[in-house]
Amino acid sequence: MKTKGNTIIKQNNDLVINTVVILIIVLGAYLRLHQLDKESIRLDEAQSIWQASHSLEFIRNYMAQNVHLPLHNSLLHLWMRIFGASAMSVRVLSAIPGILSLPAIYLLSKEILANRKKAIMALTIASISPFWIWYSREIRMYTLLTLVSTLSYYFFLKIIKESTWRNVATYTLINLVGIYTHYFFSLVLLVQVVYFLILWRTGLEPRLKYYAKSVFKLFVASAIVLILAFLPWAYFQARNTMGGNLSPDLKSPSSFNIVLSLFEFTLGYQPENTTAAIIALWPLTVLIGFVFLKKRKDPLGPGIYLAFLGAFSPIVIVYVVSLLFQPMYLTRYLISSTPLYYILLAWLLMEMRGRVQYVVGGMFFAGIMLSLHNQVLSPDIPTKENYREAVEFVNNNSTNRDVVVVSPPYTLYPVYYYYNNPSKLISMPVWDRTQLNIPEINDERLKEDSTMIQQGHKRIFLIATLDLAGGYTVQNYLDLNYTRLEKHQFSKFVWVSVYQAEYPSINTQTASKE
Amino acid sequence: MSNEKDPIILTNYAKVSKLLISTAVLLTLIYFTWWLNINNAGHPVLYTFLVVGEIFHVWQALGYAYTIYNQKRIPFKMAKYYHPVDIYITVCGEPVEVVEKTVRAVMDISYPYFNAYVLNDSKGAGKDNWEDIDIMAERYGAVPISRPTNKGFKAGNVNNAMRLTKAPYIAIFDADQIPEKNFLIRTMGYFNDEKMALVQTPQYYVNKGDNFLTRAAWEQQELFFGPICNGKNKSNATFWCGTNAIIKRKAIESIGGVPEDNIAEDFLASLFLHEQGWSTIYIPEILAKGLAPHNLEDYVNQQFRWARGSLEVIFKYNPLFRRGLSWAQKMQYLYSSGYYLNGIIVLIDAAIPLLALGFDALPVSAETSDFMVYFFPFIFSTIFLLMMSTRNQITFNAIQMSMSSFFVFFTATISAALNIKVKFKVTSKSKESGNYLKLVIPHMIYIVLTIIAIVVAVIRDGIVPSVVTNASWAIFNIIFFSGFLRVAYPWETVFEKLTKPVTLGLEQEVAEEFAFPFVEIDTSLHTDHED
Repeated sequence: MKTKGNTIIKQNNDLVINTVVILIIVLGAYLRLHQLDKESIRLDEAQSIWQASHSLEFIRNYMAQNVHLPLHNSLLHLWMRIFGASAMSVRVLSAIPGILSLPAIYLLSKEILANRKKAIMALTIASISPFWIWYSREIRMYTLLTLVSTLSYYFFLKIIKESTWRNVATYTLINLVGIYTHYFFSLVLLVQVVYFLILWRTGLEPRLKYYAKSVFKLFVASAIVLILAFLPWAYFQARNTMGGNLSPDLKSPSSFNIVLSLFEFTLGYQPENTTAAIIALWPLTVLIGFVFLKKRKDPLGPGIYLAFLGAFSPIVIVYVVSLLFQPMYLTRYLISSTPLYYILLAWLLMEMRGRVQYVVGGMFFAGIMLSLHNQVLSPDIPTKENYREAVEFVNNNSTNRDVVVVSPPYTLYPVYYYYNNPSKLISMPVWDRTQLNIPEINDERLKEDSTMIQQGHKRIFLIATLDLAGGYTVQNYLDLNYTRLEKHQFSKFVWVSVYQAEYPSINTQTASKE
Repeated sequence: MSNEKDPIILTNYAKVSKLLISTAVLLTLIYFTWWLNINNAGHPVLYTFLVVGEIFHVWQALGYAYTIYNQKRIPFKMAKYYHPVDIYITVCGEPVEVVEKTVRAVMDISYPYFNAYVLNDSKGAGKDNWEDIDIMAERYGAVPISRPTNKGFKAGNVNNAMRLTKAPYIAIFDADQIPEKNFLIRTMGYFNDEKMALVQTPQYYVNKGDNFLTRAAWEQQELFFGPICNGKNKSNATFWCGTNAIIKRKAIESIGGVPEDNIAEDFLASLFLHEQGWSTIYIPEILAKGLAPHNLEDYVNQQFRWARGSLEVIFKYNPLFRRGLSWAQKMQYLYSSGYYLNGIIVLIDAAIPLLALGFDALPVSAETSDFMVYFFPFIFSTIFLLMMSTRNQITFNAIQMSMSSFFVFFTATISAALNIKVKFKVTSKSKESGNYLKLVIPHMIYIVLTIIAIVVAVIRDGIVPSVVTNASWAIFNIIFFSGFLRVAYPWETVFEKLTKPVTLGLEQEVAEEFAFPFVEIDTSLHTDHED
């Protein structure tokens, strides 16, 4: 009877937990899919759509000169052939791995934290994470990277515990997708190598005391397959890199980038003032470290070391490499750290006790909810790029006697996406897109280009993105040299200015006076 | 209430990974380099103060890392011979019932050759109960030794007893420390080593479950009698903690008896013993159970006494300049006694954000994020090290009470530095609680100043990051200082009064007519009148 009773209680518990998990995933799906096309297509998205609208061969050749890999755009290409290129359609391709990352992080959390309630906490954080939601609603490769990173860690741990060929094959297949999704996926593999060596050396994982060598051999076999699978691309890239360089012009990171990354992982994208004010509260995060101290059984399973390593070491590595060799630090590139970062946060919250847990947990979730709300509604989010309304304004107000100028030149991509206008569209500085490199901006060049653009036109409509290199310079040049008729802001950095291009000649003026 | 099923072992030594300790040390040193970069300086005076504070923090962090590095388990040793032992119970005004429990337990100790003495200083201290103590002691077969004066306090009391007794080993217990039956069996074996002068065991608080204060006091003891004392063994730097220890008569005589001119006679005696080349050892086994200070006044007295005594060693007997000590011993003595300088450092750290808020005097000019990337690895690795080295037994409350004691330590530092004579009170261990708000006046002043400073800063600058950060630091300090505030007053009685329904002795009709929803009407007067 007792056994039967226990079984019923367990079944009920399972039912409750599974229901909660499903509800949280449904909530996450809703937050990712609701009004998916509400925001304008952003620059990066437009570039992906433009690249994916070409042939697979073009994509392969183009990506060979890019900092990214061809898999995502190739998938997008196929997707667009079936579902079209509307904002809703293309973004669903990101939302799907974004939603699938939720059950994946639940599985990984269960593996790491060995506790379903703690795993639900990690799932909840991920489900409402403004950062994850942002990228689930943007057609880029970042949610795919998140999904494969999460699954890669999951099957990595599965192999350590249970080295079946099925696990190894799945792990290898996932990693194969990962290495063709983003170069920074290699950091996930690096973390796994380091963690495996730590486990082997310290004996933290009891099973490895006896099976370390055989598990190691399986990982080596998987690595060989991955290397062989990546070699064709490496060879192709080495052979086909053309004269152009499409890598973004990144600056060397400062310590602020590290702090900002952790902030954005936690609270997503916020207006600059809000970000600065919240980061300024940092002494209170030190306090969390102290209030965490409580008598308890050892809360550190081996998985916590993996979570710590996976959450922070990629940030440190990329930061150091950026300082010493080549700037490559962008928060979104490090999204593969977020699954383990969220698991670490869940562990921290669940290991707190009593009132401290309620206070810290309450403040944490209130902070996330408010941030998500703000991320969705605030027009001051720096990463929001409202090209749609900017271009709609131009579409509605310009005529074929006007010229539409875009600056910097590569913002032509999002403008083209929405452009539906007889007016001539040109970039400033003028950019021949068959020549991959964008010309440098200087006064001489601007004078030459603006004179050429002005000719035969009544007004100049300038769509400028001020936080991108050249946008502010061009707007400032036109402000100083032309009569500005109108100026409109559509998002934090996207502005449309209208200038008078046609001026009456001196003779005409004299005649009219007479 | 206390838990009678406490483990015998206090804290097993925690074998913390050398890699982890080395990493924490590295991160600490990297952090310190940030402070050495003069380009980070803002207001020069405030920056200098902060650098001094950070030198202290780094020193304490490195001292702790060194202490827990490569700790070794001390195996039990059976005594080759049952040397005679004199057991001293030092008394100075404690209630008879408290002392009686100790005497009873001492007389119950399993050991073939020992005599028990009650060193009764109650008479000299002018306590009324001194005769009762003597009578009680004789009733149990212990010998009372009473002095007409209490010259030299506890040290004088012990020296006086040493002149009247002659066993080669002396076990010493405070009046409230109740030894286990096997106390001598578990400890005497270490005296097989001829150079062994002292065997120290932990001071366990049996009343740790009574209230927040006793619990926090015990949690502080756990840190000290856990990784810190365990770690001192490897440097032969264990010092006498005044009670629950056995000392070798010959060793104490070699240093001229227990020093009487220092309130921390035990600490100073240990220093002298080590100078003479004697060995000492700490056994992390709970072999006696005592009482924690039960109220804030007792706690403050205890902390002040320890702080003043330890700091006197720095000012009068600085271990750095003492001959006969190894460098490791010098470092350990400095590390332990220097801990109490924390009062000045906390005061500095607490004052800086107020000055920054109130007068816009920023001590640091560098970007906050630049500081954070150095500070976070340092502070979190230190916290992690504390967790690992105490096997996750360290608590926020223990650290909170240490921080909260800043003014006690500060006063002790000033009094020790200026050699101001202070009258010490023995911890009463009574169960009285009450209003000790006078002891938290500095804490309350800090809260008021914080509010004023934040208001001034917000009016002057608005809610800008520098104001938010400094306000956060001030709140950080207040949360740590709130440990004292919590135990300074029986707040529960206030809450009881606030939540208890008000009773009015009104006649039924009148009462009902004027009744408020939250007022419970007492109609008993009305009924009585009717009867």
